[in-house]
Amino acid sequence: MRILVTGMAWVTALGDDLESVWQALLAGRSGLRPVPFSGRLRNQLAAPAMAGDESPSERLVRMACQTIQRALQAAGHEPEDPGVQLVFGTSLGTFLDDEISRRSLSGWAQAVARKLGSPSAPIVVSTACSSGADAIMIGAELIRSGATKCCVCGGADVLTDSKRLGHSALGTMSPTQLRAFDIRHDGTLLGEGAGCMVLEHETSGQNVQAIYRGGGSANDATGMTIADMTGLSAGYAMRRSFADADVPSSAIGLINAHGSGTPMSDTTECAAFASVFPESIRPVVFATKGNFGHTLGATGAIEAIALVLAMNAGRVPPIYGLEQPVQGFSLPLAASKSFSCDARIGLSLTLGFGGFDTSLIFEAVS
Amino acid sequence: MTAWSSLAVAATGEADVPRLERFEPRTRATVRYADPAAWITATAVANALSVSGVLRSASSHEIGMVVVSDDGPAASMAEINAATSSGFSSPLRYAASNPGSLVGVSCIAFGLRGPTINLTMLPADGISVALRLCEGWLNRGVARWMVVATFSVNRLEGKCSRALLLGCQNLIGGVGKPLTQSAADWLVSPGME
Repeated sequence: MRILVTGMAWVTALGDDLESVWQALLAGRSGLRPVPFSGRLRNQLAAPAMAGDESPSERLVRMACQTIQRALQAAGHEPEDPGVQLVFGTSLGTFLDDEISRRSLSGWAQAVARKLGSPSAPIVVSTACSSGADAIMIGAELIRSGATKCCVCGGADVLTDSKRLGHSALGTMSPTQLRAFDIRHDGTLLGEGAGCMVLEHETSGQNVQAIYRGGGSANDATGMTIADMTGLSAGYAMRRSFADADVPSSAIGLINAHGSGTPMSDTTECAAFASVFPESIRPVVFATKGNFGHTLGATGAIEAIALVLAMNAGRVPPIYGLEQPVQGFSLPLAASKSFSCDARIGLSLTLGFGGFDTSLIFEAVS
Repeated sequence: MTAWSSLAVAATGEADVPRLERFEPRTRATVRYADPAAWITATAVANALSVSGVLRSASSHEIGMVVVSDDGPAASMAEINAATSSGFSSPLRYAASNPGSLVGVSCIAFGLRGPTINLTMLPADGISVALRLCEGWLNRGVARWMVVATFSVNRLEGKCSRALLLGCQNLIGGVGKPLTQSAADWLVSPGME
């Protein structure tokens, strides 16, 4: 059974229109800028996506609603359609900052569904930075199982004081810039946003933008915030996605990496890619967190969209902040400026706290 | 016929308090701090896995896990909330406030490297989704065993986690009993029997 991607939308620090944000990625722009914080942080830089006086909880719901509406519109559906299943994720959303939001961890998604007039109860995911990618994988599983024919899937997350302070205290926040896969990589910087895809059964989808070929998940089983730097579990996730997609590793022409900019994450991906792709197979690797900031629960969906746009456009955006690649990275990295690429099948990899590694494979259609 | 008619229950586990003594010192040292919700869930998983003995017969990468909880690590979240207002954050508490830690702690404790998902939903709403995911992964051979666990806080009964160890009926050689609706109901209704 083929699962079609029939709609995509995002809200990012670089805008909320697919084409203009895509052009900004190709131009190597970043949405990271100083964002005032009353306390002490390792870095004031962050990538907010929406201006306004809304509370973070209101912003989370608004970003999710906007992306869902736009993606469904592109696919020719309405949120009120009873055949559309909502599958959405966030990492910590506003659970740490808003006491009401943590009384029910699904409450924010139920608010989204109510606001949109969605008749079905939302399926809600929280697998840290893999939430958006896992929502897409779950949506595809539901379509395969016959539970539904159409899912709108993705993730949303907001910048909050608790997250900025938490990542600063953890030491995962860069004191300088987010430079994924660069020898100067020293941490990540947070952003916010939302991304979603409409997935449909092959018999019902129109306006096909890509084919979802398959997904794979594995747990690191290593530590609360520590990744398995041998790349073993990230490798499991990718191999499971190859099997699910029924493609060999040699079919992968392009990878949107997690690329968080932390040395631990970069090392993990470096090892995982080396273990999965033999020397003769060299897909190009790009990453977008230097552009959007690390959008946590949204990042997996946003990166899946960027991968599809790259394959459909036949161009790869440069990795923001990458000047001198880390030693030993076995695959070609997209450095300095955009370039053409004829990849038809690509992979998006996300790594999350709690050990959640997720790999999604898409095929271009244009 | 239920949507998960191909599944079999190999073992069950339940816990209402964390039993840290059930875990190896290595696990406690690696985790350092986790929310009581995550330890209670891991205790229920430990009970299910010890009954089944699958850790002796299966590789850890063949075992996956899905958790369903609308409550999550609430105590750690509240602690981070209180600390943030004074301009401080504890790295250990911040890590523990991740809702996915309800999966992560069990995976660390038992080395589970199969597919994992954390559904932040009321167990009554999310369990059918969890079982569909398990069925898909088990039937396609992505995992040989799946643990599906719930964690909930009931005003009368307190905290409770329940876990089922699931396999594919035709692949696990007669181990266990077919998954029934009542077994699925047992997961979602602690204190209701």
